[in-house]
Amino acid sequence: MDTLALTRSILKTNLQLDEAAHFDRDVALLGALPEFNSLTITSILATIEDETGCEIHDDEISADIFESVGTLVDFIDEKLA
Amino acid sequence: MTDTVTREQLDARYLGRPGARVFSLSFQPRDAARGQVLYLPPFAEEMNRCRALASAQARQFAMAGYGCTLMDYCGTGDSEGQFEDVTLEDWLGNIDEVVEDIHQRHGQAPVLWGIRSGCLLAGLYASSASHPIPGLLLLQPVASGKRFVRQLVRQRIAAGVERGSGQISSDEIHRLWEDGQSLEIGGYSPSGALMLALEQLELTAFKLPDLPLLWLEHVNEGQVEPGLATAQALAALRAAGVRPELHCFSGPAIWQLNERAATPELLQLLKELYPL
Repeated sequence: MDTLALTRSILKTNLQLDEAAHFDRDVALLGALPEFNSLTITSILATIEDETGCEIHDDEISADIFESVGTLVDFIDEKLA
Repeated sequence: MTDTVTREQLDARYLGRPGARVFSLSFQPRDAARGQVLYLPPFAEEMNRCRALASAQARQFAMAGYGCTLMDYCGTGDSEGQFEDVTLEDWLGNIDEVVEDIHQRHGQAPVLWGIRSGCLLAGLYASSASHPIPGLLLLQPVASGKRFVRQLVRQRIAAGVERGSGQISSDEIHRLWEDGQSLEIGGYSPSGALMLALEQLELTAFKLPDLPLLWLEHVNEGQVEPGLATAQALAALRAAGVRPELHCFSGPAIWQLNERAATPELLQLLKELYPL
C-alpha cells in the first residue's frame, strides 16, 4: 500500500468518512472538516503507530501535520524513512 | 417469550456508604441463572459511548440464562461522588462492593466483563479478589495503562494544536498530576492520582493463571488477525501461563465513535459465545 492509500484508509477509519477513500493531497483537514478534533487527531496518531510500527513523540505533534492530506502523507513518509 | 426483559427481572440498587454510594443495575433471567456477569465500563467518553451496547448485551445475557449487572464507578453515571476526586482505590472498592452483593444474592462471584480500560480494572481486581473470579470477558481491552494514559495526554496536547493555543508538554502534564492537580481532557477532569495509578497498570503483569479469559478484538473489514500490539499482549499472557481465547469482530468501533451505531456483528458473536 502506498502512503497516500494508507493515509486515506487511516482517515476513512478514524473520521468515519467514506469519501476519505478518494481524497487527493490538496484536501484541507484541520479547520476544514468538522470531524477533525483533538480526539480524532489522537486516534489518527495511534493508528499511524499501529500500522507502521513507528513511534511518534509528543513534541512532533503540530497543526502543520494536519493541514491537508498531503502534509499528513509527508509526515507518514518521514516516519517510514 | 418476547425479546425484552420485563421490569420484574431488573433490579436497581445503591450500595455502599452515603456520599459514595454505587449504582448497580441487575438483569436476571426468568429461571435460575447459569452464572453471573459484572460489567466494568471504560473511562470518560468511552464509558458513555458503550452504554447502549452494555444494556443490549446485559439483556442478551439474561435471555441466555446469565445474570448481568451493570455498575457506575463513583463519580460517574448515577453513582455518587465527584469524578475529580476519585482514585483507583475508590473504583476497586466500588467493584468489591458490587461483587460482594452479587455473591451474597446469587451465591457466586461474577465473570468480569470489561470494555477498553474497564479490562485493566477487571484484570487488577481478578488478580487479588477475595471471592475467586470465574473468568474474564475482555472487549477491545486496553492492555497497557501507560499507552492509554499517553493517548489522553496526547488528546490534551492535540486540543492545544486544534485551538491554535499554546501547547503543553507531556512532562508539564505529569508535573501537574504529581502536584495533585486535575487537568481537563476532552471535557473530563480526572484526578492526577487516578491518572498516575492507571499509568502503572499492565494487563500482562497481573497474576491470572488458569482463569478463563475471552479476548474480543476489533479488526478492520477483511482482516482476520489483530494488530501488533494486541498480538504481543496475547503472547505475553500465554508466556505467563494464561490461556486467552481470541475472537475477532468488525463493524463500527463504538467506543471511539461519537454517534451511536448498531453493533449486530459483535452482539451476534457474544450470542454465539453465550448460547441459549
